[in-house]
Amino acid sequence: MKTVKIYKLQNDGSQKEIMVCKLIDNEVVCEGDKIFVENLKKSGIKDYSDQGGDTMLKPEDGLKFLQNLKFAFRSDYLNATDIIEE
Amino acid sequence: MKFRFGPIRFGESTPEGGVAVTSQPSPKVEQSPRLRSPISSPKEEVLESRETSSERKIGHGVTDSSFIELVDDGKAVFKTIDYKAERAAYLVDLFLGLKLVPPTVIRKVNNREGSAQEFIPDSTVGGECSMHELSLCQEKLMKLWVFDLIIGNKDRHNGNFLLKDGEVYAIDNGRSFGYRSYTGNFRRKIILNPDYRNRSVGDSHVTFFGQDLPQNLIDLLKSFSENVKEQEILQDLLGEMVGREVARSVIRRIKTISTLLTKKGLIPDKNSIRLKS
Repeated sequence: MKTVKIYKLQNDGSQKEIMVCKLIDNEVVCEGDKIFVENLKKSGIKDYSDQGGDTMLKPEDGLKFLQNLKFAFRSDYLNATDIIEE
Repeated sequence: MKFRFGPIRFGESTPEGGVAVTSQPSPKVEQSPRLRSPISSPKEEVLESRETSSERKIGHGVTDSSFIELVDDGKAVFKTIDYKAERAAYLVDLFLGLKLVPPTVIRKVNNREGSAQEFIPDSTVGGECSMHELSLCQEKLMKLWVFDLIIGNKDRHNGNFLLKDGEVYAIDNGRSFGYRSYTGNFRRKIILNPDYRNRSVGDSHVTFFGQDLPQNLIDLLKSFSENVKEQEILQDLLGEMVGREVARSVIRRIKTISTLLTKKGLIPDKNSIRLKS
């Protein structure tokens, strides 16, 4: 199953998993920190393949949403993995 | 005068009323003299001069960041991608007095040049905050929004600002100043973030067009816009990071926004702050 994990940087430099998103039946299902998951569902993420545009992606966009998570969450404090198979 | 030239001596009182750290910087430090600015705060001094005691890679994806610990205390996030824009964003924040960007310097770690930004412990990422928590920081978020307009940040979302004790911190400012990350060049003119359209508070992108902005913010921009010397210094420092054209563009945008805010107290729409040429 295609999966992306989101990690948050901790005070000691380690990283804690705060959310896992999985592609299930062409839709992304995220589980983890309740507020974070709700905010993500509501606001979505930018489509980083749309150069200069303002297309937004939601979990129902499936694989494309999953693919873009690593570009949306690339900050030092919050970062996403590439798509991994689990 | 908000800024001082030359390093502040260790143990000396800081402008914020605290006391600078008392230990001496390590002599083995790797620095980038060409990119050092003449302006230095105690926190910048620590970040710039102390040797690293450990480095730990952050992230699993497209980042190239690491978490570094400094000898005699101090933690920072070190990155080698987009790092000049990170420093440039800090300089703009510093000169305007917005206090949004954690101290950020350019230095070397293990022979790699990059930016070292003070780590904010026990902070909450924007996306972890409820609407209520965000609404308590409304004025700070307004400052962040104006700051992003000034630096042409194309990528502010709720994953790259932090909240702690009522303060908002702007992190991950690398995609600013018209930066083309894949070529390493800067566009000649910064552009407004196309994402700043009519989205409401609580979405990942917040817009405050047409809303009254904090008087404190207006005063800070006005103060800078009236101080030609500070403008010249900032422009020079930014020029080293993002090029002279972009640096000039940033100064002009600050003045344009300041004039508008002084007259109206708000920014009606993005066309109102578009640079004429």
